[in-house]
Amino acid sequence: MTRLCSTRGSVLMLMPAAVLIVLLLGAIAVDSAIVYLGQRQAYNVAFDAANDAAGAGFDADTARRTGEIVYDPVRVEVLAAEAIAAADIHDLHLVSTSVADGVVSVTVEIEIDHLFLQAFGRDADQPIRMTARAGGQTQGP
Amino acid sequence: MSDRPRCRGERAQVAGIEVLPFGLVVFIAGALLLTNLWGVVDAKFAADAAAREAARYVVESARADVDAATIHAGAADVARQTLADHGRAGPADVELRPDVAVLERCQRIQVTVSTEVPAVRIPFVGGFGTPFAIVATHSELIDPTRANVAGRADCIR
Repeated sequence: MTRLCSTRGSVLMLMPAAVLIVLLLGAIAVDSAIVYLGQRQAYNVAFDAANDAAGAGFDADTARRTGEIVYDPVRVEVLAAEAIAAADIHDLHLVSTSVADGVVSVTVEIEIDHLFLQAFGRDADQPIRMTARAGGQTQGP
Repeated sequence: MSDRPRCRGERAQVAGIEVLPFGLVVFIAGALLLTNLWGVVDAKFAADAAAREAARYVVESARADVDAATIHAGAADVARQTLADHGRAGPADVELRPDVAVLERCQRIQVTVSTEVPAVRIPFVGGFGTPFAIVATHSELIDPTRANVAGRADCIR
């Protein structure tokens, strides 16, 4: 004769799995927030570097004579590098600067360390590139 | 002798009473860890925004007829207000460099905002333990071509 045994309590086995899933999702949320924070920081620095370069990287003589803004690419790069160094953000560096059609572009790269993802065998560093643009214009008296 | 069937299976034995407190401890510890980590990330967002707003305030307010101390005080107020807007009314330090009497064109302004996060924070209860600092720095150049600013625009070649 087959006797049916009670399986009361076996549902408790699901509890550790549920806890692990909740913690895993929380870890993914924290890692995503860290990546988003790094993105925002990189973009803000890139934007400020482009703004600084657009405000001071032009040829003053040409602007006075012709009223036209002509950017000096070397000066733009120096100003952008100064702005990025002053931001004092770990693992953030300047990739490139460019000048085209009176617009200064600054591209930066930041390496973001994931907190939890490395526990699953993924690379800890995720490089993210951000580009910001700024331009200048002259105003009459 | 009783007719009641006796069950000798071992199914679900591992999910006995000892699993309940263990699972509870893992859950609470994990949830606390995630909450505190999120608090650090959130504080970094707030400090970053505060430093940025304060730097914007300085470069927009720098004028020849306003002394730097007044602008420093205004920048500190802006930073603290930004932190408060992010729900962080705790103590915060605002440091502005360079520490000069008059702000001039082409000066690079660097604002550093540091706020504190408690070592352990329990939701709805509060924070415990020695707090540690969350620091954010923001830098901007005072516009060399803006009107009514002291100094020479030496950064333009």
